[in-house]
Amino acid sequence: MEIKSRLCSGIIFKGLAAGLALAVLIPLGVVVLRASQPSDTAWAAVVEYRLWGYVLQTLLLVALVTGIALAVGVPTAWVISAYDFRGRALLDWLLLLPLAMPGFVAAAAYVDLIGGLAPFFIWVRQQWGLEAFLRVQIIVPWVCATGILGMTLFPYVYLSCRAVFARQSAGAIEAARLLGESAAGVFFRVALPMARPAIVAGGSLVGMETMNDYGVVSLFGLQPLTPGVFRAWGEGEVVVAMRLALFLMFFLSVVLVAERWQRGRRGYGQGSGEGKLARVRLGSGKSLAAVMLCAVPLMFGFFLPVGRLLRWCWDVRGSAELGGHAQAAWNSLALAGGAVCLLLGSAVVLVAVQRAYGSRVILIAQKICLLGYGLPSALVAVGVGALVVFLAGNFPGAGVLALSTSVFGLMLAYLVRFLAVAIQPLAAGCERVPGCLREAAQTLGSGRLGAMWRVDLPLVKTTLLAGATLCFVDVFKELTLTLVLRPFDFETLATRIYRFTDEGRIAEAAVPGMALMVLCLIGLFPLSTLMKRLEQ
Amino acid sequence: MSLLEVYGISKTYRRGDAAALAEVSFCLEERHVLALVGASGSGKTTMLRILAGLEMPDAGEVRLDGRVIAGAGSGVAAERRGIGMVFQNHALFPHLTVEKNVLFGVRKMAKPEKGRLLAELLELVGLPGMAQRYPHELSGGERQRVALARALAPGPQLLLLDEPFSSLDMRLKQAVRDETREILRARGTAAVFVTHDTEDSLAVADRIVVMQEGRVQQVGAPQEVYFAPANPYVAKFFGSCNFLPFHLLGSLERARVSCLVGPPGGAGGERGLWIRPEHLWLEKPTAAGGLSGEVERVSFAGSYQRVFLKCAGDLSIEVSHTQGFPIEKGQVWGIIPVRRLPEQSGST
Repeated sequence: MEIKSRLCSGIIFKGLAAGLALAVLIPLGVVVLRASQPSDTAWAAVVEYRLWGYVLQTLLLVALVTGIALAVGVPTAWVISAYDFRGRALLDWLLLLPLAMPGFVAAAAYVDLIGGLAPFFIWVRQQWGLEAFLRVQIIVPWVCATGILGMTLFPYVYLSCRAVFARQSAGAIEAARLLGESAAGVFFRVALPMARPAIVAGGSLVGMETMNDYGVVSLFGLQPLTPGVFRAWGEGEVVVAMRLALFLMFFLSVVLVAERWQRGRRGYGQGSGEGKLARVRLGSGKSLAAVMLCAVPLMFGFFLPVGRLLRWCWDVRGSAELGGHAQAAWNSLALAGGAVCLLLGSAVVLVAVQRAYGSRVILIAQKICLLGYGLPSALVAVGVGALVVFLAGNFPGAGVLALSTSVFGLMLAYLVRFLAVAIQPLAAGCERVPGCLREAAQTLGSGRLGAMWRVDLPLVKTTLLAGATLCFVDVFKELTLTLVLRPFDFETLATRIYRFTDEGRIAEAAVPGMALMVLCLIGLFPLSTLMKRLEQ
Repeated sequence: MSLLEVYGISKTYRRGDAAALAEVSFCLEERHVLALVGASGSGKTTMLRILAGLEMPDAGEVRLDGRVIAGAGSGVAAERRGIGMVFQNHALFPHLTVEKNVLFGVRKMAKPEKGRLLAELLELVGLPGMAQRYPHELSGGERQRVALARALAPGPQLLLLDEPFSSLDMRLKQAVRDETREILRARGTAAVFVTHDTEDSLAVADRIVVMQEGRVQQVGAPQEVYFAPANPYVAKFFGSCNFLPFHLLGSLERARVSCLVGPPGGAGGERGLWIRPEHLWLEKPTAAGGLSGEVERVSFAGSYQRVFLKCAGDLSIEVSHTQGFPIEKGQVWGIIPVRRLPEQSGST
């Protein structure tokens, strides 16, 4: 008689899932542990001279970048959703392009601008004196850095608002039009309030990315918390770095909690989603204005940097260090490939196996793993870094394998940061597979894993693939973690671009920059198809 | 020994909630079809899922062919029970062709044999030549038949059907229902099916289990359940039924209605008779008293008219009027039962 208890099944997967959850929590644990250790005068000095500046600069940076992203993202989304004009379909697609432009690549294209502004600085000094000259020298990098971040990050706001304008609030918007509301009235009194949750969601994503940015801010010499953490780390002040990382995490959590809170209060945000919004045709004058509204941010966020990079690529065509670039590209590909295998395997265990067994343990592990995305890059980097140092120092064998411990550290860091990117599309895909299909497979003699393998996974193949591409691109263009955790003398495309730009060898950064950007462009295709599928 | 024996199955989903199933027992003979009937929330689907192995009972035992397949909190896994299931919305695998769907559960079989089995099953369900279609290319009725073929393919001892006809429209439903019955008979497969449609159960089942709020109300052949309901719930569930309290019956009692008599029931536990509308006739009211009522409403139902009458004591009575003479609102008619015991009719 084969009576089998349900409880003992899937124990291996539960163990795996628990291990993954633990891995995600490790960096935070290490940071909290080290931060609580006593520190010498270094911390006191940082508190006295730098901390206030770090915090102030972080807040200012986030406010400015988010402001720019909202000011660009919301109106473009509205114009594209509510009006019809020549070039609309093309612009709708083009407005996603800045997502393919990593901030530090765009920064490479702009960083020499400061040198080019020398005549302007001289003119300011002659006009208004030394005081004004110094002030302008501070302001200009801020304008550049916030502008670059805003212009490359606004598509997050654009995407989230566009879905709401076009679908969810279509009924209300059309009703307002029929009630005789003016165009501006429709936007301010109906569309904007209804899109508030989407605006906050997109804005908080921008805020998070800004707080995590290291490349752009350090290239322009800004001093918010993330470069602050790395400065302390580089100076060997581990405890200081850990404490600053916790500060960063506090600000990031505030953003995330605020976003969660307003989402919870929504209620009216989800319209019935019936049909698409009928677009109003614009006359030629207004059409031109609409095109300009969309084209200007595209210009700054994408086409101008691409143009400059292309020109430099042409300039260095004979003398480029192709060997070094190829090695870096290979390193990037290998890292990203390995990380994708790890991330996808983990996501399948956390999502598909969870569904197959209906296990609560795995579900809790999955929720914990999703939290990793909310950890600041800087915190993950120094947490994993401290762990790697500890392992290399305490296990003599590991000392010889310094390279492999570093690669292990990198993989762990990618796992922590990007597991959510792999989990979310897969979970959304699995959500759409009716549970009765799995039950049908079971009554036809398939075991739980068999049913998952033969039914669930083939049905989520496309979302799985899209998730894999997103992870691949995310790891491929990752700079902050890689910069800190990479093995000695090991370069990826991203770190190479950063190093060249930092050393002022901008023209040489152009070739790897273009290569990176083209790859990110390829990653956009699955993203846009995924968006469409989820929108339906 | 019966093929399927269910003893005292109980199931509660969450502590503190009402039991989804309470002490459910029934059995099923080989080659028979059993219907689990009840309103939504009666526990019939839970019972079916326990039989399939998709849920575990808290208490009780299920035996298939003498072998215990489910006991308290444990049991044979669904995939090892050898029980087939047809799901409510068919649950065909959208990424597989009809052929791959049907052969999904067939293992350890040589290729030519598989081909033969497929051809035989598609022939049986009337879909020859459809093997390479995908589910989305099929009509509702065709999907239902593929689902049936898929469930039959591994040669299950028992087939479970969860609301198999509910997604089909009225006209298609009757054809598919009769077809399914024929197919089950042809394969000699015993089946349990769940439905909220009493007509389905009366038409298809050999035995009916009527459930309400997790409890079995009656187990019996369709005729038994319809003509001799065990309690007022069953009586009303299988169609309109009038309750005539004894104190109003006077002459009706003299008419000696017999097999129409249900159990005592009605409001406040009053005793009386349960009589279906088609078992009542309308006559000219007699001076001798008897039951009579004023016509309140008449509605045309094709082969008969539904007549609602108001009797003394606020009693409403429904009569299926098939006698042809016109009935109009406001008229007063005498009501008498049609069926009398033959050997006693005319006496008194």
